[in-house]
Amino acid sequence: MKQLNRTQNEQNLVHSAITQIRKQYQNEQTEEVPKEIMENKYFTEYEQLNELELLTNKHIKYCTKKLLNIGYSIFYLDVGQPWCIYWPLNALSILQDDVSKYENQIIQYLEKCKIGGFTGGPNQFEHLAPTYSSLLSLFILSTPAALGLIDRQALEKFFWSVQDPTEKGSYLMHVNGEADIRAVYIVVIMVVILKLDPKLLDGCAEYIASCQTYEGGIGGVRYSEAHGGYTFCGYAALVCMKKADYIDQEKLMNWLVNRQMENEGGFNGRTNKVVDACYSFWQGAIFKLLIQSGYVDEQLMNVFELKNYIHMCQNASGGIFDKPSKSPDAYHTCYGLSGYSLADSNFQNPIYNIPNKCIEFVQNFFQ
Amino acid sequence: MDYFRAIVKSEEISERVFDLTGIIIHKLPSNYNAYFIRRKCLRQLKLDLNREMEFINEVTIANQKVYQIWEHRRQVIEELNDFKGEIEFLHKIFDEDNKNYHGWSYRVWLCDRFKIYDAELIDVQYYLDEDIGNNSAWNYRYFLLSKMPLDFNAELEYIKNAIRLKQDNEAAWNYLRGWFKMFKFKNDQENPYKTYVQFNLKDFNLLEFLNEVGLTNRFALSLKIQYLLQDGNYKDAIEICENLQNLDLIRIKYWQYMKNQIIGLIQ
Ligand SMILES: [Zn+2]
Repeated sequence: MKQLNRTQNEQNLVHSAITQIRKQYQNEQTEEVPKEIMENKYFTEYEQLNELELLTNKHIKYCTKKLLNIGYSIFYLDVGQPWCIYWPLNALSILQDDVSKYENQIIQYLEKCKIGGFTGGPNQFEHLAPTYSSLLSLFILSTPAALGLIDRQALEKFFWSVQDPTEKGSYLMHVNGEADIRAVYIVVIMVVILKLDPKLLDGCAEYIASCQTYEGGIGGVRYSEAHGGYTFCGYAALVCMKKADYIDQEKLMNWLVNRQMENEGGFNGRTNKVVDACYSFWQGAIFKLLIQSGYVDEQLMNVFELKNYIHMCQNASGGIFDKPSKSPDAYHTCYGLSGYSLADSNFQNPIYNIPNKCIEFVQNFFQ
Repeated sequence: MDYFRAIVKSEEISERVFDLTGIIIHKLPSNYNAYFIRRKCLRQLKLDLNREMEFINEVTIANQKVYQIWEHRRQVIEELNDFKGEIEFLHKIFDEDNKNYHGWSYRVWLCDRFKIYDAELIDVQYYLDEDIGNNSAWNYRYFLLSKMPLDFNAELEYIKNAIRLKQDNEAAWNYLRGWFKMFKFKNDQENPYKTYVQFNLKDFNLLEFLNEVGLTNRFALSLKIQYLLQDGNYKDAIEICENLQNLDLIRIKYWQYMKNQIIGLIQ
C-alpha cells in the first residue's frame, strides 16, 4: 500500500502538475512526454498515483473514530447530529466493516432525536435533513430493534406539516423553513419505502420537472442553476416514483457527462466550476439511476478516471477530502466512497445510498 | 445553551427570547430552531423589520452560504414588501463569490417578486463582463429572457459574440443549446411544466458559425451532431461521434453510445 506523505502545499502543486501534464498531452497530440516534464518531481509522483489503491483499512479507522464521537456534542447546540452518524456509518458499511456493534449506541442516541420526524439534536424541532439521515442510519442497521424505532404514523404527520403552502408537490425542510428539491426527495423516497400515504406524492413529479433547467440538470428551486446535488435529488425521486420520463432525460445526460472533468477525472457540481470528490456520488449516482430507469443500459461515465481521482483525494492516514490541498471530513469520505462503490458495483442502492440488501430488509419489514 | 432548549420547549414569545435567538444565530447561523422562534417573535411582537434587515445583513456577510439566513431574508423582505438596497447587497455578496448559489437563487425570487426584469437584464451584464464563464449569470439571463418578449435573432448574435470571446466556454454553449429543441432518441413525454421558449435548430443557420469557430471543440461538434440529425444526415453525424471518441477521451463511452443511437435510427 503506497502512502504519500506530503504537505498540503505540495499536494496543491501535484494537483496543478497533473492538470498541466494532461493538458500538455492533449495539446501536443503526442505520446512522447517532453523532457522537462519527465524530470519534474511531481510528474514522477503522478506515475505513482496511477498505481494507488483504496486505503480501505485506513478509512475504516478514520470512520470508526468519527462514529464513536456521537453523543459527544449532545451538550452543544449542534443542528446536524444525525449526519454525524449516517456519514461514517454508511462509509463503514460500504467498506464491509461490521456495523452491528454500533446498534445500541445509535438507537439510544436517535431515540433522543425522535418526535415523528427526527431533529438535529435532542430537544430541537423536526427537520427533514436529520429525518433523512436518521432513517437511513436505522435502515443500514437493518434489525427489528432499529426499524422498530420508526413511528410511521407520526412520521406521516410530520410530512404533511411541511407541505409547501404556496406550491403543489413541493416541501419545506422544516415548518416555516426553506423549500427546495432536497425536501421533495426526502419525502418521496421515505413515503415509498415506508409505504406511507401515497397522496403525499401528488404533484411531486410535476414540480421536480419544472425545476429542470435549459442545461438539462435540475436546480434547487424553479429557474435556479442546474446543480449536481439537486439534480441527484430530483432525478432519484422521479426514478423512485417510476416517473423518470417527466423530464428530458436526453438533455439530462448531455449535461451530466460534461460534468466529468477531463484533466482531473472527478466531477464538478455545475458548469465551469471546480472538481470536488463529493460529486463522485451526487453526479456519479445519476449514471446508475439512468440505468435503473431503463433510459440507458450501461455505465457511461469514465469509471477508471473517477476512481483515480478518488485515489488522489485520500488522506494518508484515512479519510477523503474534496480536492488535494484540503483536509478530510466525514461528508467527503462518505460521498467519495459511495461514488467509488456505485461506479462499478451493485452493492449500494443509487436512490437511497445505502446497501441494496438493507433496502430489501426494510421493504419486507414494512409489509 | 440549555436555557435556549428550555425556551424551545416553553414556546415563550418575548423580547428576551428574541434577543437570545440573535445570540444563537451569531454563534451557529444554521440553527433552524432559532429562526423559527425568531420569526414568531418578529410577527407577534410586531418588531421593526428594517432593524431586522441590519441583523440579517451582518450575519450573511459573515456566513454567506447558510440556507437559513437566506430564507430568513426572503421572508422578511416579503413582509416588508420593499426591496430597497437588496441589489446593492447582492453585489457585495457576488464580489466575494460571483457564483454563490444561495445568492443567485434568492435573486430569482426577488426579481420575480418585484417584477424588475428589465433593470436586471442590464445588471446581469456586469457579471458576464466580469467573467464570461460565470454560468450562474448565464442561467440568470436565461430566466430573465424567458420572462420577457424576446428578439431571438439579436440574442443569437449576443451568444455568438460571447463564444467568439472564449470558444471553449461551456456556459455559453449550454445557453445556446438551451434555446433550441434538441433531437430526441427516445419518446420522452413532453415536459408539461416547460416554462421556457424553444426554437427549432433548423430555422437558424448556425452551420456557418460552427464552422467559423472551428470544429475541434466538443461543444461545437456536439451541436453539429444535433444539426445533422435534424437534417437526417446520419452518416456525417456518426463520423463526428467517431472523431469525438478520439478527441474527448474521458467521454469515450458516451460518444460510442451516441453513435449506437444514431445507427439505431438508420435501421
Ligand atoms: Zn464537496
